[in-house]
Amino acid sequence: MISRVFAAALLALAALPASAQRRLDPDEQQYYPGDFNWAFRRNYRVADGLFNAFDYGHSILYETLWRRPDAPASLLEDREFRHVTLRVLRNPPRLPLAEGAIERQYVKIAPEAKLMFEWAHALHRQVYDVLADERLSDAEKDRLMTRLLAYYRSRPDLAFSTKPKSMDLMEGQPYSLAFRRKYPKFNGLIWGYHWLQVGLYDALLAGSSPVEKQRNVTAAVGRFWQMLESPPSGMPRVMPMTAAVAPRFTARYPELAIVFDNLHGMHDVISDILASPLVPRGKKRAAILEAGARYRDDETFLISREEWRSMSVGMGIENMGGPAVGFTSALATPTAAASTGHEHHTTPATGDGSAPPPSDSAAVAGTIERFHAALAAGDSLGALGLLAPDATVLESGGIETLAEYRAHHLPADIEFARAVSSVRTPSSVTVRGDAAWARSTSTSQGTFRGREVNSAGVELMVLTRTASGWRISAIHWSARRRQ
Amino acid sequence: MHGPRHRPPAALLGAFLLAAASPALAQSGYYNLDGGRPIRVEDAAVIERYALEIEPLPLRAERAFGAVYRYRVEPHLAYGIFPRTQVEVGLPFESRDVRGNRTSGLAGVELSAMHNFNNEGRFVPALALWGGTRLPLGAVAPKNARYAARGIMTRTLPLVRLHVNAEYSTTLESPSCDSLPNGAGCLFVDNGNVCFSRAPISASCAAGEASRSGALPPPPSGSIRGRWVGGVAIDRAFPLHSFLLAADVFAERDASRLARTEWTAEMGARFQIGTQTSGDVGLGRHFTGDDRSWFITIGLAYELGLRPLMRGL
Repeated sequence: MISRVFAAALLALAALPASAQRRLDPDEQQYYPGDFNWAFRRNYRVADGLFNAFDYGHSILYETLWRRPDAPASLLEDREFRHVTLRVLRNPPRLPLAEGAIERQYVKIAPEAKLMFEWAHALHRQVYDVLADERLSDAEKDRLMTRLLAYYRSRPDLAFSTKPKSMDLMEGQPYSLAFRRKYPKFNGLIWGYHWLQVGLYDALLAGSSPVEKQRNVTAAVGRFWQMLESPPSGMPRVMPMTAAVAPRFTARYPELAIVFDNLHGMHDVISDILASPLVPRGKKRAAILEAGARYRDDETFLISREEWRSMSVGMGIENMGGPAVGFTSALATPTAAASTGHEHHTTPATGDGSAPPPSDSAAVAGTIERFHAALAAGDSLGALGLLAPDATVLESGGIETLAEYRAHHLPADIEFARAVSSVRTPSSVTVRGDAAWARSTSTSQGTFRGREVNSAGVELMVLTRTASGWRISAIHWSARRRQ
Repeated sequence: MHGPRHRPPAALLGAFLLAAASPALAQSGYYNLDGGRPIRVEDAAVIERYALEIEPLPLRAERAFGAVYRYRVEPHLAYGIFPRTQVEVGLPFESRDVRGNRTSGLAGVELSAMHNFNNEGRFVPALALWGGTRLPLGAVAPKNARYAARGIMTRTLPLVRLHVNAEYSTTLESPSCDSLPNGAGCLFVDNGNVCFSRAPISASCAAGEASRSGALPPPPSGSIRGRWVGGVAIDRAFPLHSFLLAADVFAERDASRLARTEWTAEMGARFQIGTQTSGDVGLGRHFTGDDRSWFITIGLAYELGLRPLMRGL
């Protein structure tokens, strides 16, 4: 009798999974088995150790943002930053970390997101292993990559889309940019992580021999340390895009490159959701789950691969930390301002840590450059943040207030800036007290909404000095077709 | 005072060391508490889907009253057969040494399954249900099968994790009994634990029936004997070092109004040795009842994926 009761109970246990599979609550799954696993760890121990440390940085970031929402920015920007860069990165953990043991409270609000990251991180590491395994031929590596991707995609409840997503998903939401504005240094650190993580793919692919691969990997790791020497000025100023930082890898494994960009995009989105006061504490889980669903699906916020490549290159490799292979000894000079919207982060640091005040004309030109960079990056909130509340925009024979511009022409301007290549002359700036005006010309060439564009344009901007720095109060654009 | 020190049989020790020295192949689960490794109270996590976890030679050495030793090695396999569900099989081998009289052999076959119901949420702990049986196969196995069901809860607090286990097990008869020399008492195995009764050997004990602590009459043969176990554990992880400290206390009691509650406390550590290898050590004491034994545990586990066991590959 007892045995029958317990046999029935065991059968009931075995039957539970069918219902469990129908639920949305995802579960963990073993990574794809094979001899190649851990080859990167065996052959590139220093870089592998850094990756373990990176896991700590991501986890402590989320845990801190969730547990200490009202803490001053210095908690992350100073204390945790120092702990991570001076201790954890310099003495990295010997083994991959159990992130749940670090982000103990955060993980409870969105365990689904944690599992998405873990699933993608396993793929990340296995791709290094395949590339680092000298026993495999190129053809075998390609076959394994296909299998790894198929295995990864066999979990649609966890897998990031293999289709590129628009920057609007990351930078066009109400909560967007909240993290990088409040924590520019830690944000730069995370982007530095992402630069190395995708850059090492090209470092491995560019080497024709084990010795050359070692040299490339060592150099890329050295460049990562160089970025940390003068935070945040030496760090990436825009999210490192795989297509720009690892062009060889992207050409050979485009779907994997897209997955990793979507992964890194969602890392930033969760940071923004946790940091943004616009998302109430009780709604952060829903916002994270919604973002996760968008990054997994193959329908929303899509751009074409060509647009993705073009956007990645257009954002400027020099703003992402520079190339990961074949770089010079000096750090790349960024052309984009720090993406925080804070003036003091656009100026170089002096030896004593203070920032010299830029000249007014340089500051005005900087604001205009950042405005155009934000348009080119699809960063609508970044662009709007540089406009004064009473700004007017004159273009196409009409006058728009800030609200009208946001609703009407801004999306088209972003689309145009991302679709058409433009060359602008430096702005000629005149400053009169708290007002300034700047004029410049430009030529644009490309295809926009199915028609050829080949035009010459002029731009006049009026700026006013505010407590936050120079802000654009008026814009006038006009253009004519070039002969 | 207690006679010569007894050590694990040389073959077992050698096998253990051989396993410890073999290439690292093992599980990455230092953060997840398995029952008995190193403490009895476990967490609500199951192993990953399609993962195979092998614990080749987990050793438990126990010293009970009166130079009674027991060494137990329980090769154990667990497989993540479905989402959130693992099945397990264990083959415990046991060697009992009672003042120089040694008995060794298979102590049953353990089959079990565990299902985790949910990821821990902001307001809901992780919950799991475990069910298993020990089949009466082997030279030193109990005479009858034991069936058990266990509810498991895990809650993560800011500094520690809290685990609560509640188990009910049942078997058809009382446990078997080994008489100690010179009428010193009775040694029996109960649900995997060595138990000892100081009571003079009674007719029923000599016939294979044990009375717990001699205070209760032996249950009649053929009756259903139930047993409750409830325990609480906390653990604290040190993630940068892949190290976990854990401690528990649990109470056991026969489902009889006259039975006494027995208490045991344990503590131990789990630690990651390699990317797939974890180890554990533990120490415990039964601190009520006649059976106030000390015990230590030491184990290794490895986790791997096998393509043939993965559907769709």
